[in-house]
Amino acid sequence: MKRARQKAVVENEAPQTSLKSKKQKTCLYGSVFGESDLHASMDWGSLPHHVILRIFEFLPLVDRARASSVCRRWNEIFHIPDLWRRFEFELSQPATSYLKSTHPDLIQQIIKRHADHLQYVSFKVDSSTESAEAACDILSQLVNCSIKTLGLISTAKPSFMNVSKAHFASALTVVFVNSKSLSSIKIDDTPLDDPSLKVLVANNSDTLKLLKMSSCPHVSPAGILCVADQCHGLKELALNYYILSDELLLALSSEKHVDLEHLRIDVVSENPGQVEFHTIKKQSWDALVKHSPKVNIVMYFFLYEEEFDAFFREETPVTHLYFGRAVSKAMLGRIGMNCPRLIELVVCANGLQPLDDELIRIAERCKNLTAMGLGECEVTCRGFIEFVKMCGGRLTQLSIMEEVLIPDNDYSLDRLHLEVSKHLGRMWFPDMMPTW
Amino acid sequence: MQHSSIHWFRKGLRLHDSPNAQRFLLDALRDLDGNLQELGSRLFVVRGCPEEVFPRLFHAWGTTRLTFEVDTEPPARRRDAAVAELAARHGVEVIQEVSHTLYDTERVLALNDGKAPLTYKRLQSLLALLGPPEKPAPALTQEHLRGCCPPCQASHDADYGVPTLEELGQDPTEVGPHLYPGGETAALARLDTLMKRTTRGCSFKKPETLCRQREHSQPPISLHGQLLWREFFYTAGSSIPNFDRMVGNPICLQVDWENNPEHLRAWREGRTGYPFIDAIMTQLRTEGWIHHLARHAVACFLTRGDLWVSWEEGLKVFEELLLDADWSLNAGNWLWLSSSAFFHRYFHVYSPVAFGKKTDRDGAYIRKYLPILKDFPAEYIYEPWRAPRAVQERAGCLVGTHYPQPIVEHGVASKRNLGRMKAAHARKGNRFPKKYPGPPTAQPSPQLPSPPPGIKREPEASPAAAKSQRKKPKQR
Repeated sequence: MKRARQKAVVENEAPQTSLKSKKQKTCLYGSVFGESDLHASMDWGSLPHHVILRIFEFLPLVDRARASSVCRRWNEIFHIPDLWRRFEFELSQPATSYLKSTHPDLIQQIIKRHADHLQYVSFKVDSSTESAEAACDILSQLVNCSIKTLGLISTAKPSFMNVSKAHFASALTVVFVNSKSLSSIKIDDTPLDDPSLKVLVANNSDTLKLLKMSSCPHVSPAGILCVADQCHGLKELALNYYILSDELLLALSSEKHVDLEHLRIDVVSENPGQVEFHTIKKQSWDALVKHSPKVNIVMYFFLYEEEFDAFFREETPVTHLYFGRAVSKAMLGRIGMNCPRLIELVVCANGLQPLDDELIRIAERCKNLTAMGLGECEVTCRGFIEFVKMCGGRLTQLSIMEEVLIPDNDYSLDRLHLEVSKHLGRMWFPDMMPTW
Repeated sequence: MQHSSIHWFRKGLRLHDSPNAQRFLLDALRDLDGNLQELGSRLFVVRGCPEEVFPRLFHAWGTTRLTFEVDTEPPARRRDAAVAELAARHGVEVIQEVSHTLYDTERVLALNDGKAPLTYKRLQSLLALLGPPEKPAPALTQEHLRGCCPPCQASHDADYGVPTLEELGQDPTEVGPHLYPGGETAALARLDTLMKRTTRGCSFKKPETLCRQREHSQPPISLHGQLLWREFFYTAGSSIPNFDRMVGNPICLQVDWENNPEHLRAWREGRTGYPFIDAIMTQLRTEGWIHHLARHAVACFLTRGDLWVSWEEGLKVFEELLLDADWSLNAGNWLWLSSSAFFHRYFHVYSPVAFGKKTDRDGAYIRKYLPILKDFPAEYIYEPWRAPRAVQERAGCLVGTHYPQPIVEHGVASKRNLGRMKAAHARKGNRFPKKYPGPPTAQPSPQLPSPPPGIKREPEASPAAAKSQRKKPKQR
């Protein structure tokens, strides 16, 4: 408080000196250097509330907190609810993490004074269980809040998975039951379970718009189906393939349901060596696209080559495809045949045979393709140029590692980049890795 | 006027170097001494801190001039500034010449507003403005050194001779095979052998092992191009503060890497359970050199690919074990491979299983450096944990007993790390480009499919909308 008083003294001096001369000055440093005079009422402590609030909105929390100890007025403004709508709790154990943590005193202050104001909340935790448990403890105390957006983010190991199911579920229940207006929930990599989803649905079915729950191994197909059945405003959904079902797609396509905008599906080998994946019927996909013609269907694949058998046998309305491991030539051929809605394709690795034919077929049949990334694959220069020519300027993102391109009799790498640039209508180079 | 000059050779020995590295450097020093003797001069190896040693030498030898090569690394710069000041106080003239890099890095920086170019293409265009590098000075001959008398005495070998491995506390029997003798003579011989295969010289292409064409290839894949990579990292390293660490490094992505000493040790000691990675780390430890693609594979595996351990840890390990460890290149490449700087196409992850298979289907490299696995059939040698028990028994190696189980599951780990990388890029402090706005690149910024709608924003209507938001590079 001493500091505030001193500052207050400086503020008060200015009006004294200004009485001597009536010159008005809006110079920021006027009073500090005592050069010019400030008009009596124009000192920093008496700026209108809304002006200070606006300025505070631009300041990072640390600076705002410092500013709040300048004078009582600024301190009041610091605690205005509008400044406490959004908060990201960063929880990490200093001994093991590289990044900063929200100060425990600040956390206490927020819980005491601002729990009611919080609307957009996220928790960023490191890989230690203590951090995840601390997040759950905070959540359990947000009893009087009406949270709209909730995010649980593991920056390293999925530490929420180490929290006891009971502890996690009870923390979530507090928020699900009390908020009643949750619209966006991001809880990937957590021990979320079917009962918790039931609680969510029972209290927030009218408001829920976004649910991201990839890698939540305790959720069953029935659990997510319950969400689709009841939450008709759901626009974005992210989940793992094993809980995707025909029933789910049909539920999302019911008349009562709004247009789905975004569906993300992670296809991961749950048990390494698992070979069989269930198929989704074409009718189910068709129903979804008929209901929501603009829906983006994003699929991330992390499978072994032999595990792909169930996929892309029939027309599949996927728009964004990502292959995190090697994917076979045959599979890429199937994609060319059966993915007419494809917008973006990223292939991390393939094999040693050139993918010319497959790429050309994709250019022919995937008329919406605008972005492509190729990692460890092989394509001849001539094949690649043919591909780019067929796609033309619609390819706004083209990311190819330079090793992918095999020079042939017609084209060297230098000629290639000029040709490709010509067809794309902009300067283009393959990506390169340095020589170490 | 009579001058007494000291020429100061640097890039010296460090006590924490591996035995391989120390032997390499001692080879180099002996070779240098031998070459100088042929010209009628001598190498003086002086021990101690330059700030203490030089005044003594200046006095003993009546030195009037001190010459040395420009060293762009920040710790060296501080040392050189101190020495220069010291020399001035003793009335010794200091002459520094650029010879470690093709171009004077200061000139390159000056052309670019004092900032290091952050893309290879940008460096190329700047260098084009400077023209070709200066021709090297002619080699030293006896003629040049006529009339020079180094202050050699009978006790030279004892006082200023090249130390032996034993004197440095190493046991010569414990060092690995002497595959890469240090020194200019041996290096020139290796270069000679390489150049004699002229087709190889003209059509050098990384990462091909076979020649495909006879034309002189252009940078960045030509030999000339390889040298420019070195130039690129030296230039960056000379001007970017805290280049070899994450915190305080303005071009480095701030990432919550995991503090996991167990994983780091497994990586370092070659027991991750992924034979390709373990074989590479074994070669590194025993021989001190690994192919640059091998470096890519293990660097990616340690950081954004699989283990999510900080690249700074990997940098320390390389610095210790690599014979050709070089501060600027080491830091620069780690930044690149961990996707912390220069490079943001982080979807491209080297697979610890598939990558090696491409050039070595049978796994000969693994069999050589991990003899415990040598009897595995080619089908399983990259992924021995997938082999049926009968196969493992026949190979005399049970995974989990004789060879470790994989410490992470690549599919699960890389998927998770993809999400983490995306989150790191989306962090407030991490928008690219930072204070170093490069020219607008050909490709727009981060390119993964749907970015997760930010928790603080209303959910995006479509990923395309979010993408086009991200596409605009921040212009100055």
